Amino acid sequence: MPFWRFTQYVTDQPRCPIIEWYGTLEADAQAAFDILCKVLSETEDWDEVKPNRRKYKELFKEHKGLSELLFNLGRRQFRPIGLLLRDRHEFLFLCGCIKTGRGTTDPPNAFSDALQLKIQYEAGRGYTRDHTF
Amino acid sequence: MITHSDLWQKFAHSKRYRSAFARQQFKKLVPLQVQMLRKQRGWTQEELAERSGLTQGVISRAEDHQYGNLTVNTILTIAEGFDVAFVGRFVPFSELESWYLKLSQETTHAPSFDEENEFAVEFYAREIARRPDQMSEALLHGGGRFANSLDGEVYEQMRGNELSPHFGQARTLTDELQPNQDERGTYRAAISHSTS
Repeated sequence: MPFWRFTQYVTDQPRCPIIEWYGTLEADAQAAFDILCKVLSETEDWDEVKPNRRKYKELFKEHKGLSELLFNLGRRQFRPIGLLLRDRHEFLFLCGCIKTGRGTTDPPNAFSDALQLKIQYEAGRGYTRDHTF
Repeated sequence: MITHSDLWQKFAHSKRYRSAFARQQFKKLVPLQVQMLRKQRGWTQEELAERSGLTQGVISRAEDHQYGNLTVNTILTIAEGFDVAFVGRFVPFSELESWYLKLSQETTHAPSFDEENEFAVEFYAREIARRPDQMSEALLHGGGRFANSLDGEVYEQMRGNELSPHFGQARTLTDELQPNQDERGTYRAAISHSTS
């Protein structure tokens, strides 16, 4: 049994923003994302390594409550965004983005969109399902 | 969790995806396996480093799946530290898929040579005591493969290893012995114990 489970949020429209984002990625980024999920699912303690080697980050300030996974390909910095549900050993994907600079992302407003999705999820709207990788 | 058909569809959909997947899995799943094997043995990075003749920093980087510059030479040196073999093989995507989907803490077992050998000797002693009339010199040379032939999953772990010329005879005798479920459980527990 994997230590961690990955799930994805589907809005009540229904839309699945993480899958929409995944579909925009190049094949090498899709493969890297899939394998990152596999590695993390089989890693019991994500905090075992030094902070600068962790593959996720919990966000603060205006994005408090959100977490992001981190993976890079060359200079491209990919950031799948979601909720780290530690008590359930689950990471719920909301959406994703590529960091393009200091505080800028592609798509723009990815983090504020993620916050909106979080609010919808916490209000019981939409549903979640397993994320395959 | 991904299923057989999900991953295969991705492979089938794009050559670029499957090529990137093959590359990424090598870069990232070798570090994962190093970490899994080290933890199964209850070793710290320092202990593995000492056994491998490397520094703790090298082990730390070897376990970092984002590092990406792990050399085959370092992998082989770490394999020596574990006293296991690292096998680089060209395989079809179906084999990669099957291995990837099964990869977990539970399926990643690679006992050291000494552990395997100790188990084989113990197993033989037991079998010879039980069926001395059936035991031949050839069987004595069957070694660990004879033990592994008792259980499909364990045998699967050994697949790809060069088989002893006596393996066929040993296997035949194993089939004749037809160990029951309890015995299989005992042997598997012994293997698990020896690898934990």
